[in-house]
Amino acid sequence: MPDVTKTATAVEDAVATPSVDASAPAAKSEKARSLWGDAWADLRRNPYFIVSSVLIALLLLISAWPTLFTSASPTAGDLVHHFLSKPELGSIGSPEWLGYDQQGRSVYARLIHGTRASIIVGICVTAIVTFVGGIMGMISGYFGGWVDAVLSRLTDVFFGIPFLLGAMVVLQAFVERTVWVVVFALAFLGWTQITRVMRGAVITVKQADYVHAAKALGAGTTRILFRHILPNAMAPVIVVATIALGGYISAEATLSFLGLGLAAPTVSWGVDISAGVAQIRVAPHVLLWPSIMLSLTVLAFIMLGEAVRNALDPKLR
Amino acid sequence: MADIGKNDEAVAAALDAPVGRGEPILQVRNLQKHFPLTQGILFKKQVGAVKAVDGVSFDLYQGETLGIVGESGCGKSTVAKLLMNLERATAGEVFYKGQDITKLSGRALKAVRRNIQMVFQDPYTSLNPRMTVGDIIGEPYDIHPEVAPKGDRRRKVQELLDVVGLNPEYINRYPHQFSGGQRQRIGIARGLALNPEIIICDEPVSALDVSVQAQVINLMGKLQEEFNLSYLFIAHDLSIVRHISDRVGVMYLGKMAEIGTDEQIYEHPTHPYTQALLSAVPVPDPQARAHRERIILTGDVPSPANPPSGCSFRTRCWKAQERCSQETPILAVPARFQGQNTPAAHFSACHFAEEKQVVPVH
Amino acid sequence: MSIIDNTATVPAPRGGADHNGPLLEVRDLHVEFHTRDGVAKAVNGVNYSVNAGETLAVLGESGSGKSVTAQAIMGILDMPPGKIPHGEILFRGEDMLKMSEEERRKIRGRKIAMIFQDALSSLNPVLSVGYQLGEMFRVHHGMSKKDAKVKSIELMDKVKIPAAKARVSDYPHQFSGGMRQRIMIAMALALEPDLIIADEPTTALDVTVQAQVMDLLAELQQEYNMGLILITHDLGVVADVADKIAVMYAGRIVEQAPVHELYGRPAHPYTRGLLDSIPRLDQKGQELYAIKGLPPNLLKVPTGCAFNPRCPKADDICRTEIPALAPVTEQDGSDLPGRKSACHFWKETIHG
Repeated sequence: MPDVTKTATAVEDAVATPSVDASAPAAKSEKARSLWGDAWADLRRNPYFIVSSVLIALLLLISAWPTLFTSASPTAGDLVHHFLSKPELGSIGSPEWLGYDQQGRSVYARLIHGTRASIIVGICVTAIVTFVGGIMGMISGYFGGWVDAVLSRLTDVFFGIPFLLGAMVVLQAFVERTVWVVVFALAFLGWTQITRVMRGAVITVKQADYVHAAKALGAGTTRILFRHILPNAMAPVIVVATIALGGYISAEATLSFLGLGLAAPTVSWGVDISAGVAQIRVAPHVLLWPSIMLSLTVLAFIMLGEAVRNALDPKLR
Repeated sequence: MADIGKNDEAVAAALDAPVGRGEPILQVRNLQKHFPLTQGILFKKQVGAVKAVDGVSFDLYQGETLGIVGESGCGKSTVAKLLMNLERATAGEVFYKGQDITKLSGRALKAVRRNIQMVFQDPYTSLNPRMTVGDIIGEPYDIHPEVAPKGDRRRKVQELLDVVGLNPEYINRYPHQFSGGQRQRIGIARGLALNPEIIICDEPVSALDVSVQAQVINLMGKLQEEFNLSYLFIAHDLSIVRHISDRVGVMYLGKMAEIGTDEQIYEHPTHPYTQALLSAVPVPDPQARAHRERIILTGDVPSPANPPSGCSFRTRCWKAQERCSQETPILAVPARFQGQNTPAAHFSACHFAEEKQVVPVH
Repeated sequence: MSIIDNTATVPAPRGGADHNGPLLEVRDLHVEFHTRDGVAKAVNGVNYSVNAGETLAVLGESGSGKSVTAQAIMGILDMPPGKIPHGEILFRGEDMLKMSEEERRKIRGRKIAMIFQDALSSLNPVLSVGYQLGEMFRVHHGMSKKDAKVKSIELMDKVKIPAAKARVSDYPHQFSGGMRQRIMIAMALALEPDLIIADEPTTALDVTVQAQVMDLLAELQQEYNMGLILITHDLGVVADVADKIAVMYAGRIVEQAPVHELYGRPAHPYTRGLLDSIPRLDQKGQELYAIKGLPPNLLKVPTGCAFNPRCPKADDICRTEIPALAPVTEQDGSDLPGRKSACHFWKETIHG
């Protein structure tokens, strides 16, 4: 029964409204609270946010300065260590900690150095997709009419292409598949989701009275778009982008696993998972550790996205 | 290009000229807004139109309050949007100081906007939730920097807060930290920032609690006197409109049914729709409920996409005759009252206009 | 300090139909909402009662607790965040708050029905109106589809929907606002309940339609001899239909009175302020009287009388002591039946 929630929000509203009055200086102690500020206060108390952001911070640190975590080279192998899988728990962080792979390279070192590829792909694809998709969605939603019709059909066409299959086809066109090529392939197909979310959000915000009020004041299109519409349409985009970031990381791993994404000598979790599968019976650890890292990373971003969603939209709780 | 620019400047200069009290500041002539109804996905074909506003004319005089009443869907809010140029009129003119503003754009339109401002219905959606109160009220100065030099703005915003009865120290707070009535005060302050001559109020108090409504109405009355404002006050609450208006227009299905001074409309209505509307308003006096005559209309307002022929009210009117379906009544002093010096002699669009008192007179 | 309603001091006999007290009685009801910023006390000790065939209007502004009380009666309060720490809701003498969910479900809809403000969102958009009306008969009376449809048409006729037979298969969006509200009324009436709670039933409607719907509701109430709790903020609507009025402020009833008495001589400054602050259709006044200040924040309701920061009569006692809802008498001490006020200065207010 929707009316129940309505009254519930009415109560909430009566609660949220501090009893401030022009004639009551008693309420002065109350500080200015922006919506972003409220969301941040909410986030800080959310354990999911704390766990995921600590994890993500660690991952960022690893990818920026991998040598802080290991001195071993991820590519230098010594066949002496071939498949030596016995974990030596006493020496956390040493090259032999998580064992060696077929070519005697330290699994731990490869794990650390492989982080960078995943994080770069995730962050760059998300950045490009949010920028391009955001602009497309904003134009499409704000201007409407034929502009919207053209952009929406274009979005539909790209949306219709199966994401991984499409990325494979794009990747086939490149001889040398560097991280940047993978970023391009994923971004090329990934922008549609953000476009749709942004378009929907802009259409909703566009009808708000404060947008009409700005127009009535004589505000120009740029001002209306960037001062009124964008800040109010950002919330769902941020949430979707954060969750999608995890998806892009796993997409990169999937492509590498299939042999179409990154390939040796590039160090990446996907490449290692691909190599590990073949030896799963003799040396499961070669497959296990990159898989765990990958899952943790994806999980961290999805958890962060959910936490942000809850903070930005308290009605969901 | 240069010509247009020059022309704009001339227009802008003309618009800043003062208008004397008692002269019309806004003249609306045969204003129309038809929203096309389309069919088809790729090739859109127009299959009809919603006649939201269908030929409305009235004058707004300097310093007065003109109330526009009507039920939902009668087009009163669309009139507000047309006057604000938030929607483009399908036909008709709006003369502001003799200049038709419906066709303006660019600088000339911006100049007009300085002088015609709006207060919105819903104080919860009319303020940008991500901006501070200071930014909201100060935004008019960002858009029209010539009104206030940069260093002066903070002081001006604080003055405005004080004028509308809010603590000037609240300048850094966000809208959600205020109650409905306070937010509406913020909306009014924003409307006042550019020192406009006309304020169009679209249901400014209908979203507020009863005890707060009175505060806002009193504030608007005070501001009108202080700044010599002309109000176009759009509302569905007939009691509030009577309280605040000098003249009142009654709209039905995109047309003006009756217009006159508040006394003419409330005490001497001649249009059957006005009479029904007035008689239906619940009066907060239980003594009155026994001996009040109420005209209960049957049915609902017809769809503006397919209005009845002739008089649009005839489908619900108890006086309707053959003539009403064939001939659209024009808004004028009805023939039987012409030349008479009675309060019933005011504009009413009915073939069978007849005075009938429905509101108890004290 | 006695906050318990006088009529409630006689222990009500337990038992169903042969109960001869009020149809519904709310005793010392408290409702809280636990929010991020603290506990919001939405209802703080409400007492009221309705008899069969009687209309009680609960008047109040947003946040006064008038709708929350109704939701607590219907058992549709969101819990959590809502919580009922204290109170009784007696339907024919039986406390509904102590009943099992199954027992309450039997009362809800069958004995007590509710009409909401927003008919469009209260009706299911993908089911035809006839189906939704018929559902009541199929579920509660086990009727066949065909019989239920006949019944639905009957009901739609009853609430004066023109061409009911032709429109029974239409969907909610095909009806106008007034017609939808009639359908809501028909649904509420379907099982011939003893009590109807109408939460702002006409607020979303236009005046001309409002009058139609209120008339219909009053007519049906007489016909079925139902009790009606009308929740509204509109003093005009109340004057038109109510028998007695309870004025709520900050989760408490501040004044109770028969309708004619209240408008003539309010016994609480808040009621007086409300009456003075509404513009009148039949008068053109000067400046309106305005109650100063803002409705209270439910997280920190002022100590003493909740209305004291806005009250022109407030004194030291108002800031420290909560006034009880006590009977109001004539100047010579003779009884004013049904009248109560929760004000330390009710004498000055009503007689002054």
